[in-house]
Amino acid sequence: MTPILGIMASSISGSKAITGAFESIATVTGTGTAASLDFSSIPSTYKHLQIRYCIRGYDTTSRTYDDLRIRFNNDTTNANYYGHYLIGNGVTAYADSLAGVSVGGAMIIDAYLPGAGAAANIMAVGIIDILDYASTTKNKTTRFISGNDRNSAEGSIRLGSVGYFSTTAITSIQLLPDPTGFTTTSTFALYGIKGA
Amino acid sequence: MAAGATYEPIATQTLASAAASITFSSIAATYTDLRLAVTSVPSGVIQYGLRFNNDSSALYSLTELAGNGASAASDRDVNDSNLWFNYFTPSGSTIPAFMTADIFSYAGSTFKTTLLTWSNDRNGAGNLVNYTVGLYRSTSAINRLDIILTSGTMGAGTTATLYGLKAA
Repeated sequence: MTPILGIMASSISGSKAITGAFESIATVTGTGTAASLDFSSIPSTYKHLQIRYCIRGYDTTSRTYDDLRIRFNNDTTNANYYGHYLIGNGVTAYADSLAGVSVGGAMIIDAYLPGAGAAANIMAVGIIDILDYASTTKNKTTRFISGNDRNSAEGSIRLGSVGYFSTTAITSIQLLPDPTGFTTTSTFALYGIKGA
Repeated sequence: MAAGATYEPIATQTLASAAASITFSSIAATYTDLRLAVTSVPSGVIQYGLRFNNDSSALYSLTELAGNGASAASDRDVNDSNLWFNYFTPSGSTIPAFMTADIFSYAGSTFKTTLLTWSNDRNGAGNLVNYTVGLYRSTSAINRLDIILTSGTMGAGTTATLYGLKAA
């Protein structure tokens, strides 16, 4: 018999049903003024989490660039967060880093979100992977890709990682706008990725 | 929280012979995002592009971050007729390139933003990795994708799979 992915087909036993390994958990939508969009009561039944977003900042001062920040378990301890970035703005490629103390007990995912002053209908998109989020013995590592293009105005594409230095399982995620909120056209979708 | 299976293949195309384009049409609006994965051997020094709704008007732009094994660079393209997976043109190669495109809120009413990647390593003989964010300035739902080239063809064996992701 031909091996299938390193095991013999005849070695597979048991009655466990084969189901999808990538499941939708929940979606949150911007309200305009909400200071945080939250995923709470996240079950520990997955191996990894993924957040996919299509968002735009809401503010009352017509800013061109807003921030998206992330916090875990409502933990505002500055020392528990660190971020590293590789960024392209259409002219220059550069690297950057931030400590949680400068971000108010959270960490920036993207500091180039289109705000109210950006051209209409421009959205930022991104994918955040939160690895081994339910571990109670390891600190947590998040990686992401995020960006927006504005044709004639400066956009950005960025790769990054956020370290969350806590061995507590992640059961809630707060997505924080700066300065005000996310538009009602903004969505964050949380997915769970199963392990074998 | 409700949970449900949500990452589904929509269609796969495998080229039996070299071709200059691949089309996915009549894409249902039932998903939240689309994901395209392509593996292809180019016929020469070419760029791979992505076009939506067969619309070749100057509504496309991009911001790119790229590395070639020695340095990193960033560039922009405005008012183009499609998005480029690899705006930095590579040298010719017979080693397959791997491309992905995540097309967010493709059926929504805002402009459409896409994350594109292009990867091609040649064991020291020229390597490129590109991360790109692309904008399509249209509020129409996307129901067709075309993978196109600047010139030449995609080789036989090229595969392109389109997935749909459905959020709760």
